[in-house]
Amino acid sequence: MRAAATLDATGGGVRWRDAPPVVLRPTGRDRVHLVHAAGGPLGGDELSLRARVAAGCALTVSSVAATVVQPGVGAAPASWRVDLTVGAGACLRWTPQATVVTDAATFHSAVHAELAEDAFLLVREQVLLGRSGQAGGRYRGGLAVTVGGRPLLRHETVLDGRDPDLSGPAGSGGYRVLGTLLVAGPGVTEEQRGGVEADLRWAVLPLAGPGYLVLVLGRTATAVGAVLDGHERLAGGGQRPKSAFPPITGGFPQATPSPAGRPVA
Amino acid sequence: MTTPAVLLLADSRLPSGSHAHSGGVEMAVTAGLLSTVDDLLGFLRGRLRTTGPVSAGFAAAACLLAAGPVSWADWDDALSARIPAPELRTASRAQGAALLRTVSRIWSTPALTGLRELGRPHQLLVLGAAIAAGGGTGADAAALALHHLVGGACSAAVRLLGLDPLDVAAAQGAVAGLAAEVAAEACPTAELAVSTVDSSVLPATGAPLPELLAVAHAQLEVSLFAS
Amino acid sequence: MHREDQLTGPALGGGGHRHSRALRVGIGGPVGGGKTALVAALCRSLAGELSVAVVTNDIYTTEDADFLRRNGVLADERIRAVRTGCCPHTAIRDDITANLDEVEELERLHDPDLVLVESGGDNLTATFSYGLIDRQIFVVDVAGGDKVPRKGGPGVTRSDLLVINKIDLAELVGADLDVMRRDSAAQRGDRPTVLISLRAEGGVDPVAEWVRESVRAHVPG
Repeated sequence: MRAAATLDATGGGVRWRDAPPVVLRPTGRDRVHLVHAAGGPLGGDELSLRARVAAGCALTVSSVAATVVQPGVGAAPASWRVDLTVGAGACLRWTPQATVVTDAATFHSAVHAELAEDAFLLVREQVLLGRSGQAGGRYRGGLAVTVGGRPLLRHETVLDGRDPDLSGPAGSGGYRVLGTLLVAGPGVTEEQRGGVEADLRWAVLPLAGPGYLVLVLGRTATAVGAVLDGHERLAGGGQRPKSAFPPITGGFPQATPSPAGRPVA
Repeated sequence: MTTPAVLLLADSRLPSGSHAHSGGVEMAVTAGLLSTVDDLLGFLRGRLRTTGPVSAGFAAAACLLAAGPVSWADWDDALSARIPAPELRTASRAQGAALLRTVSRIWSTPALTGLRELGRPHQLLVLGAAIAAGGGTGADAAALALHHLVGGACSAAVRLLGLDPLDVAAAQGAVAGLAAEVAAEACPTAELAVSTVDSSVLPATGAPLPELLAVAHAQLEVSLFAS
Repeated sequence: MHREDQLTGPALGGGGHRHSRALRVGIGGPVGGGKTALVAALCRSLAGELSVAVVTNDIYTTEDADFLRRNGVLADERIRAVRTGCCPHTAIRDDITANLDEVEELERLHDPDLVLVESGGDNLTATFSYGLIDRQIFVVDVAGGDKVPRKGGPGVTRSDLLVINKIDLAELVGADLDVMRRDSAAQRGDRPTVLISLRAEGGVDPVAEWVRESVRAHVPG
């Protein structure tokens, strides 16, 4: 199935249009939670969200639970496309929970972000190959960030727990959890460079422009999540809008009613 | 078409500064992740399938771009965006500067002059422009970029591990088919990128562990290779 | 937005013209002969007279940097390390581009009178390309055996200065200094050879004098 949701944060508040199964819920002053209604994406689903934060505004988008991607009928991938636009002096934190790509599932994820010169963006992503005990499916994830019209990051990763070439030292090195944290904005930096622990490796990669990328590979979601939490705290809150931000006023009425609950695999 | 000029650029004896770069092999060896010819074979296949398309694509595009006026800075930025690890950007620029120094003694073209104005352009752009100067094609550039990606890793593995060079040669031969596929796939995309003046269609694939290892390599107290 | 990581690199002019007035001296020779000790001793001896910078191809650690800093009176920013990828010959002879990069960068930053390039420890067949340096010193020591000069090799026969070091150990290792002196002269003709002990007071003086003379005689470009 296809679904395209939208989300806008402006001086007048936050507006959104759900597109089930992509559903949004206000959870705070500048905060919205993403809900995948009726289980996670299935192979063959094409889901998208376009989010815009107007100049001087702030928005945080999170999710209530991990997204579990399962195979659908046939071999088509589940795909998820996010387009983010952050205006001058605006601040967007995109921090969904992890995505689990179960055995035999294929998941394509693409996040495209356009930032004004002095915008702040934080994007957190965490992918688990398979539920506990599984080798996992196949994941292709892309993160493309442009600042003031110039490319800051074009990062695409393919993970596949069953493909020896891609899960070896030239790929994911046998780890099943990948975490990334992109922090972009004027003057953002992090002092630390990297480390190795029993079950994980991480590094901070200063980009060729205003931002850095934290990369973590590990064996457990808890460990990887903890490292990302630490770096997220260090990144701080980004720029705050100077003017008071009015409360969230609610979304447009849904274009179509939610479908009856789909069976959970 | 294989001409003497293209062969010159394929020759590892050409002074290009690349003999001191291991293509990620040194850190993989140090971390205990690569120690046999079989490991090397898996590593080569992984590299060709992840960053291979980026190497082939940018080298081919640079070769085509060299035919006319070009804003090299834009393509250099596009490649930098695909290399988040600063250590790898530095290594790319060091090799780019070395190769540019040498090929500027061999050929004089507007494209090479333009690249010199950039200071220390990325190695793939220099390779592409040099192939063009020597009369080679985008397909030659794609093939050479992958030839050097594989060859550099192989010679580093021989030096670091004392692997049988004949076995390593066999491994290099074994991935030749895959390299040819990756090079062939790169060409139409490169042509599209150049004709539409849009680098965003060029591949951006990479892999996380080599990026982490590049940072770890730079933190080593002692290393034998520059990257 | 500035171009972040262009780094300050040397301008690559066409035709390989040199932009600097510095004399470049390579220091080669087998492992343990005393190359690093010679570099440190020269820096100390010439401090205050000449502005010096060093590029080393020897495996370089912070310990080595500390040694040079403490003993050579040379600031960190005047020393650069070049990794050779296990190919010390190649880096100073067949593919000099990485060394040229660092030498030119030091010349650009410090405008020195003298740049010393120390090769990685190697055997007797490794010598410098004159595309990288103007003069080369080859350092061997008596403990390597008194037959070394007779064996020859390009380092012994063709270097601009041959240094036979650790003469204080000659008796202990059964090396005949007269034999070494004679054989060197036979191999080298007019080219100079000095026999020294860097550990002795003023041991480096003959080499330092040779370097001073070479700097004076050097015509840039």
